[in-house]
Amino acid sequence: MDNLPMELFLAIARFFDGPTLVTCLRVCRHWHVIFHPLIWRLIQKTTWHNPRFPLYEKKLTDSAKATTPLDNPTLPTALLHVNTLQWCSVYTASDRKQRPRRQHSGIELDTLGRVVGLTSNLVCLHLQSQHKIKKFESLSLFVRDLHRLQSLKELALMLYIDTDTPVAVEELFPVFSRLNKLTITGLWISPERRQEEKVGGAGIGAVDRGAGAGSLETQQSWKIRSLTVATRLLSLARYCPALVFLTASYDFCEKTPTPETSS
Amino acid sequence: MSAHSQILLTSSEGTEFIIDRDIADKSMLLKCMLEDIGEIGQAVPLPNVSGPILTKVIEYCTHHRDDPNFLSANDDVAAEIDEWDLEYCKVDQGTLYELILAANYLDIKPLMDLTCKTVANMIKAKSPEEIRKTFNITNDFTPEEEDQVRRENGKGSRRLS
Repeated sequence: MDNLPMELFLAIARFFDGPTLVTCLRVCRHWHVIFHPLIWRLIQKTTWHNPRFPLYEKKLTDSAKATTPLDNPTLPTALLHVNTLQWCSVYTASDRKQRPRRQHSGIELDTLGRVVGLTSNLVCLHLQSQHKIKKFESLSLFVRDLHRLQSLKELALMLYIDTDTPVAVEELFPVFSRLNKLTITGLWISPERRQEEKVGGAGIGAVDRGAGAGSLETQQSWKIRSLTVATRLLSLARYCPALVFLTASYDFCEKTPTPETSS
Repeated sequence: MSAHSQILLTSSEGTEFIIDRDIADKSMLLKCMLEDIGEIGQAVPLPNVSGPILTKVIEYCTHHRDDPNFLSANDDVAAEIDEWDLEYCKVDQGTLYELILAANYLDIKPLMDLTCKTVANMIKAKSPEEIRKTFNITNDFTPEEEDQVRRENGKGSRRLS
């Protein structure tokens, strides 16, 4: 079998199921090298609700031993095949208290930015945070990573982010123009801007200002058919000529938490 | 009608084979070649395929010559292999690999799928040790590596199934 060329090994592996493939990894070094990249094919359409495999976060107490799975050279190639990524528990490193109790069930947004930066073939990205993410500094970096996802068709950002770096919804407009389906809720604007909005009277104003006449042309080519937004961002809908489904939800996080009073 | 014309092939040892055009057409390589250059009446040399293997390949193509589904890509990996094909693949491993190589070279997708699936079936539901025995592979992992690979992938096999 050793004299078979690589591509024929792979042709044979097309007929493997998951357990067989994993068993083959354990046969010898040569097989391990050949078959290891194929493991990722199995997770191509996996929803990583519980991302224990393969992107578990290791606690990095000793930075010299910092080997996260992301430093694994096979991972970038692997992520090229991933086309759907769902993460329902996003948090930041500073949110120690809000870390999910189960160590493996969440991912840090910084890590996620790197993951997103690696998955250039991503078609569907679904991110959700359970808690409000406080003081997230590298949001603009994350947004830049989003811009690189050329084949993205479905985007759901349900992140409650509090940030000092002003990243506003309009910065994502070039990304939106590629989408078929968009869900966006949460605080995608900086506190300053929120203040501005309150002064200006309406959130719509903020979006309008960002969407100057120059970018209007690109917005007319938006292909979004399904839009789910917080009422605050409802004005996004008018840029979507192809809109079929619209869901607007009240943004609860806008409300300042008030102590419960019995009536 | 071109289907009745005959094609001359020479294997790697120079043995000549005369086959019908419709059988040659099962091979995408020969089909495209014959369409491009036309039938010039000369032998088509196949330096990558030995005589016994070519005989085997022709046997397969002849059996499936009137198969209407021959080229409809059968991507169903779980599909059963039919009895004749199963019997056809009962050859020693060396022949099987040469068949894969020949099917790949001649671009006969159904034969390629059949032979690859046969090898895959030889691997399925076996332990690593049994696989090594079947394919005569020496285990070149160090004990530490083997332990690590087992730890990394042992559980995975259940999770991925």
